[in-house]
Amino acid sequence: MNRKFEDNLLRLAFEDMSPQEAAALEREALQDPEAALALAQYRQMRTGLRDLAEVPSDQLSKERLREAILARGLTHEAKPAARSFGWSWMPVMAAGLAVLVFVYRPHAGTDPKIASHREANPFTYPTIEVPPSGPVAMNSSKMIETAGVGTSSASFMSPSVPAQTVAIVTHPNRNGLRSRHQARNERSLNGLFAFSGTGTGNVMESVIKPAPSTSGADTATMASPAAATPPASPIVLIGNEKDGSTGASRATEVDSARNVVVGG
Amino acid sequence: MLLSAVKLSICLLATWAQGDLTNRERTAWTRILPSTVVIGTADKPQTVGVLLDDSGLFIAQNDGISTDIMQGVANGHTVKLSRVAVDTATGLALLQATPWAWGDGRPAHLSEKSVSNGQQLFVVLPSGPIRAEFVRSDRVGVLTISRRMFPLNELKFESPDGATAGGIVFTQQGELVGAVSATLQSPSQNQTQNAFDNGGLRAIQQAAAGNGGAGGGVRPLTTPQTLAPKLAYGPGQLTTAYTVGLAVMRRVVEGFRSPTHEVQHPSIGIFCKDSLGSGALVEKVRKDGPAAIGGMQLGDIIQSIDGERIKSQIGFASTMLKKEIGQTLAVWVLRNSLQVRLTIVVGKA
Amino acid sequence: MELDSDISLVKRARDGDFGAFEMLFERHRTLVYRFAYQMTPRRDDAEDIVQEAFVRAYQNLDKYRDEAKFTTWLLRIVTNLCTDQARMFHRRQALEQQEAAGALDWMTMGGFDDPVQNLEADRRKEALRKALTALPVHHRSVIVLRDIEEREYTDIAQMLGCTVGGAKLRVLRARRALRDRIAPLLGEEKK
Repeated sequence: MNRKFEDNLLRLAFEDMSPQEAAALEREALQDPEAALALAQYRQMRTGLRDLAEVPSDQLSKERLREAILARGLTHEAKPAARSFGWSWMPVMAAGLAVLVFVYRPHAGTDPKIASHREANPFTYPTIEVPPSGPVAMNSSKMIETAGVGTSSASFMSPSVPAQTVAIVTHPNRNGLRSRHQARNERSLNGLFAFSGTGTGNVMESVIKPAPSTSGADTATMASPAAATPPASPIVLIGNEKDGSTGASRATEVDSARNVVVGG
Repeated sequence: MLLSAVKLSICLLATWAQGDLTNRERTAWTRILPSTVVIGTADKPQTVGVLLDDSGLFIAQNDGISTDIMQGVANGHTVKLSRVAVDTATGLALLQATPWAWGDGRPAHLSEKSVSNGQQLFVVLPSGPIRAEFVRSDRVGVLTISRRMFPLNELKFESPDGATAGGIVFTQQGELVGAVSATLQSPSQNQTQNAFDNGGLRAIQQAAAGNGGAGGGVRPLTTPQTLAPKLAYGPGQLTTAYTVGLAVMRRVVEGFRSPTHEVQHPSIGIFCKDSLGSGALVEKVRKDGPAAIGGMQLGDIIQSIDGERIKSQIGFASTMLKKEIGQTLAVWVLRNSLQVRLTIVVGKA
Repeated sequence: MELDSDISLVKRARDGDFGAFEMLFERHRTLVYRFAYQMTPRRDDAEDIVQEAFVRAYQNLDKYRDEAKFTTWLLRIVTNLCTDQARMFHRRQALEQQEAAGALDWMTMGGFDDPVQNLEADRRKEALRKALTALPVHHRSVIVLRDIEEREYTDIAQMLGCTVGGAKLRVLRARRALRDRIAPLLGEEKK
């Protein structure tokens, strides 16, 4: 049997052809014992696959999903009430954007890749993003509200430099979904040392510190970086288990170190 | 009679197959030998250590040290080895030999120059030296137990008989390169060996090497005429092994030699993962650590450090390796679509 | 636009209505779970994948375009998650392949005339399951979609991002791969 004929038998067995084509091929197959056997076997394969359709029931729940989403600090904020005014919000938004562009105009030497909002591939590692919900301006001493009520202030003080605090506040949506930062995957690292759960409640805070004069690299602009480019060769993971023949720790090469947690 | 003749032939062939040391190698080995100690119990030698200074401080792979006090033989002296310190990041241990007098051994020195690809090396095992070849120095490894990333050297050698864990690696000029941390490939037995039982062949090989029985206890390394016996007769599968990079070794040695015997690796006290080429995603922030004090938070994505772009957690760790404790860093992170600049003072791990 | 159509629920979820997203979850969880289970036949792994898929879907609702069905989009996320999982646990997969091969070898120890008849149905099923699991993700996914979940080629094409013809070709290749893997099970004899 040639390959094409076998492929057609496969298609026939899985009912992937028109009735006329199927009837003609079936007649042809029955005249060739080898083809007939192959067809019978492919039909067996099909039946077998259908039998695999039975799956055990799941234990998924929307509560678990909600917890997982909250653990990532993800929210989709309710649209502001201004939308009910129809098209009039557009000029306001345009003015706000113009202010933003002016405030955040690129400085000399700024790496545009870093400054721009990253495009997140939906099918890749999740990143934390807060969708913009209105004009936002960075001001060293103003509270910035993304959607309304509820602020708290706290600041980290560096040992030697007074801190300027900017608080970014998120507002729970109308369904009461509060966002907070939580650690992920603590299981594997619990007990290594104590971790602070920074950022509780519904407030996320950022601290911008003025550049200490001691460091020459403390400038607001980022010059073209001498990138710390990791080598293209595979990463070697050295684990606890031993290589039975050498007695040394077993090393494994991995192409992608994406999910390897590293300390530093 | 016939069997004896066969065995004798094999013995001679085995000797030839293992290879005598060249004059140059013999000279190097004479220089290396006084720097080494064979560590083990009375039942079997476990690993090898290398002398750091004249006070009797040795460094060895901690994996091979089963108890805090072990027996060893260094340069012909039987010594007690007490574990003084362990650098958990690299898995290296500091041992104090007693009794030890100035001049009982020759401290090893780290290779000043980078080792070249293809350069011939020695790996010193309890059973003697084996030849190895330096492959490359640009490997990156993560020790999963400590979650620390280090540059690694990769070497290859023909699989010897016995463990290679903790083998000390020297250049043929007698300079210290490192200790075998891990191996990638397990040697497989050459099919010729099927003709003999394992014990028989091993006995032949050891007789040729003059090392006596495998289970004879801790024996001093001597100036051998041949290399350590190999696992298989004939060319065996190559073992790929890794040692921690020279720069990190230097830091470990300096730390162990210091009065506190403490190795200080620069750290800001976080764990991070890759954020898909766009930075390092902070997974954990140590309470009261440098990063926490500097305002870093869970979920921050590190974008750059002192102007150096960080593309992944490996890039972050590579950059941190170059920093010094006490150094102040300008760190840019992405937090909720906003760029935030933090100032963090490097601490120690 | 229907009030409760997928597109409508997505839109409401984007606007901050988490309840709408929960409705999407309840509506499609079984389908997504079934697919995830077929891709990685361990219930807890499948549940983890489903949950992660919905979390990512929630996170990226802004990027969903209604040219494709919401379920198609979800299944694509699941396939990518399974690919990530397969890459990370390639050693486990290699082990499964060995197990599958081992299982098939054992299966051929039956009678020579009709080995299939000599096998118990559940063992045959298990062997087929292992063979399917041992397939690379890109083959496994299309077999699951077409031959187990019986999705239309148009859906499969959307999920794969190719034409219907391309989807059919992918399915054919996957079936060939599976057939080769279970040839002893089917009692093929090379003459």
